[in-house]
Amino acid sequence: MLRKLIAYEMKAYGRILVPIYIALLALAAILGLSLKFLPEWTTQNVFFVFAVLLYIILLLSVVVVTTLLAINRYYGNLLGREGYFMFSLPVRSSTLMVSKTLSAMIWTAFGTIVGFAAVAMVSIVAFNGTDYIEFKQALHMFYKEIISPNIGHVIFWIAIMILVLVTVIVRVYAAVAIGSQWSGHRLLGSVLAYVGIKIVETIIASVISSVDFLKNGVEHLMWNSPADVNGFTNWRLQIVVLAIIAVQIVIYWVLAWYFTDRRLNLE
Amino acid sequence: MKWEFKNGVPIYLQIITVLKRKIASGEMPPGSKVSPVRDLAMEAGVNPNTMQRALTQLEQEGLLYTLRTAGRYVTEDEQILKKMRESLSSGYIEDMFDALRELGMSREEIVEAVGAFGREQ
Amino acid sequence: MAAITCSNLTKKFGKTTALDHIDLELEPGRIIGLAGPNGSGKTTLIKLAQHMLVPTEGEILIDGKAPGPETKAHLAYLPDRDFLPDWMKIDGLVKLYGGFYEDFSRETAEQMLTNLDIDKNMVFKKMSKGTREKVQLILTMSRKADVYLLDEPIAGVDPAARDYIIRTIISNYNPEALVLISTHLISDIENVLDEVIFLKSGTIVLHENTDDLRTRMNKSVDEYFREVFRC
Repeated sequence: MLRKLIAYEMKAYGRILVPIYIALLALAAILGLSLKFLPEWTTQNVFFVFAVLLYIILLLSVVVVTTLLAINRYYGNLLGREGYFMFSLPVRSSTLMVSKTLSAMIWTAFGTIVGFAAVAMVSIVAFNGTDYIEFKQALHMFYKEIISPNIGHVIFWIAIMILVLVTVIVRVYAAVAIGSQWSGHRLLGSVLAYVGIKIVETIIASVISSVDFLKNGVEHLMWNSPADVNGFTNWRLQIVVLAIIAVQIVIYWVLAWYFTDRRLNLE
Repeated sequence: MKWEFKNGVPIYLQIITVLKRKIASGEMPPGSKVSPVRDLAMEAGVNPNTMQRALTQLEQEGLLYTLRTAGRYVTEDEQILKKMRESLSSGYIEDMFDALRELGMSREEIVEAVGAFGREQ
Repeated sequence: MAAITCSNLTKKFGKTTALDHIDLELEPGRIIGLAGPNGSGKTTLIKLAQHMLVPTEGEILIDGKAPGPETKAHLAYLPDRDFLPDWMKIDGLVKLYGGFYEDFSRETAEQMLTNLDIDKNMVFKKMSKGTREKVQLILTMSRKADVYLLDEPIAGVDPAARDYIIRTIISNYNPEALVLISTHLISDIENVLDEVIFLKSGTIVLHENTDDLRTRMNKSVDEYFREVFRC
C-alpha cells in the first residue's frame, strides 16, 4: 500500500514539478547555446538578460514550489477536503504520513539534482565538452584528495543532511496538524504552531549548545579535526549529534501523529 | 417511473395490491414470467427486501410460483385468479361504500344508486 | 455478527456532546436510514465508523473490529462533500480506486459512467456539481463492500438525480451488505429503507422497521419524522 500511496504522490507532485524541470533544463540548454554561438552580443541583448532572469526565477521556483507542494500535500490533501478520501483508504494514518514524508524527500532530491543539472548544463553546452577532460580530472582529484580520505566524515554529513531534511518536513507536518485543530483558522493556526515550535526549539537548542563539550565538539566535527573533548572522540560525538536530531524527529513525528490520527479535524 | 404509495400502510402490502392489479388487468398475464426482484424493486423505487417480502406473500397465496432455475411465474390456476379478482373487487366496493356513507347515504340509497349507474352504462 | 455495533458510544467536542451514550446494532443485508436534522450527530457517527474521529467514551465496531485499515478495506464511504483529488481525470480516478480497493469493480464503474454519458477524459474539477456527485456515488457503489456509509447523498440534488441515486443504490444492493444512508429529508428515501433511526441532539429517539412504524403510527415515516423533529 505504501508503494501505491507514493505512486499517487509522484503523480500529484509530478504534474506540477516536471513541467518546471523541463522548462528549466530547456532554458539552460538555450542559454548554453546562445553563449556558444553568439558570444559577442548576447550579453547585451535584452532577450538574453530576460532569459537569464527567467532562468534564475525558474531555479528559485523549483525550491519554492517543492516546499509549498510538500506543505500542501499534508495541509491540503491530508487534512483538507481530500482527507475524506485519504483517510478512507485501507491504511494506517502513520502509513499516510510516511508516504507524505518520503515523497517530500524524493522530490527534494529530484529538485536538487535538476537544479545542479541546470547549472551544469549551461556550461556543458556552452563549452561543448572542451573542458570535459579537465572537469573529469578535477572531479577525480576531488574524490581522491577530499572524499576518499574522509569517507566516514562525508557519510556522517550526508546522514546529517538527510536527517535534517526529515526534521524540517516532520516539523512542518506537526505544525500543520496542530494548527488544523483550529477550525476556520487552519492556516493561521498552522503558522502560529510553527512559530511556537521554532521558539521552543530555539530555547532548547540554546540550552543544549551551552553544554561545553557539545559546542566544541560540533566545531571539531565541522572541520573534521580530531577531537577529544571530555574523552569524547569524533565518532562518539557524531553519535550524540545524530541522536539529538533523531530525538527531534521522534518528538515531531509523535506530535504530528497524535494530532493527525487521534485528533483529526477535517474541514 | 416510481409507483405511488400511500402513507400509513406498510409498503409491502401496497406492493401486493399493485401487483394483484397488474395481474388482474393483464399487464402481468397468467403464465408470464415475473421480472427479477431487483428490477421490480428499481421500477417501484423500493427496497429489494420489501419487494421480496411482497413476492413471497403472493407465492404463499398461490398467485405466483417459482421454478427452481427458471424464475418466478404468474399462476394459471383460474380458481386462484378468480378468488383474487373477487377480493380486489370487494375491496373497491368496500372503499366506495365507505366513501358514500361519509356523504350521508344509507345502505339502500347506495345500492339503488349503484344499480341506476349500472343500468345507464 | 452485526455489521455495525455501537456500545455506549460518546463523542464530545470540548463542552458540546455530539453523540451521547449510543447503543446500536445494525445487521447486514439491510438498508437503514439515519435521519435527523443538521447537527444531530449523523456525520459524527459516520466519521467515528471510519476512524476519522476517536470516541470520547465507548466503542464502535465494524464487523466486530475496531475501525482501521482492515475495516476500511470493506467499507465504502461517501462523504457529504467533494472529496476526490479534483485535478484528476475520471479515468484516473477509476484507476486510483481500482488500485487502492480490492473490492472495486472497474467494469461496474465504467458501465455506470457510460450509462450516464460521462466522458472519462474529463477532469473532475471541470464537471458540474451534479455530475461530480454522480461520479463520487458511482465510485463508491462500484465497490463490493460489506458496509456502505452514504452521508447525505440526496441533499440538494434535483428529483431526476435523486431517482438516479436511489436506483443506483438499489441496483448495486448486495444482500449481505449494510447500507446506512444519512439524511435530513426522509420522504425522498423512505420507500427504500428497511429500518430507520431517528437521531436527535446526539441520542437515538427511535430505531424501528419502517413497515412496522408505518403500521404502528398509521402514517408515513416522513410524517412521523416531522412530528418528532417539529421545531
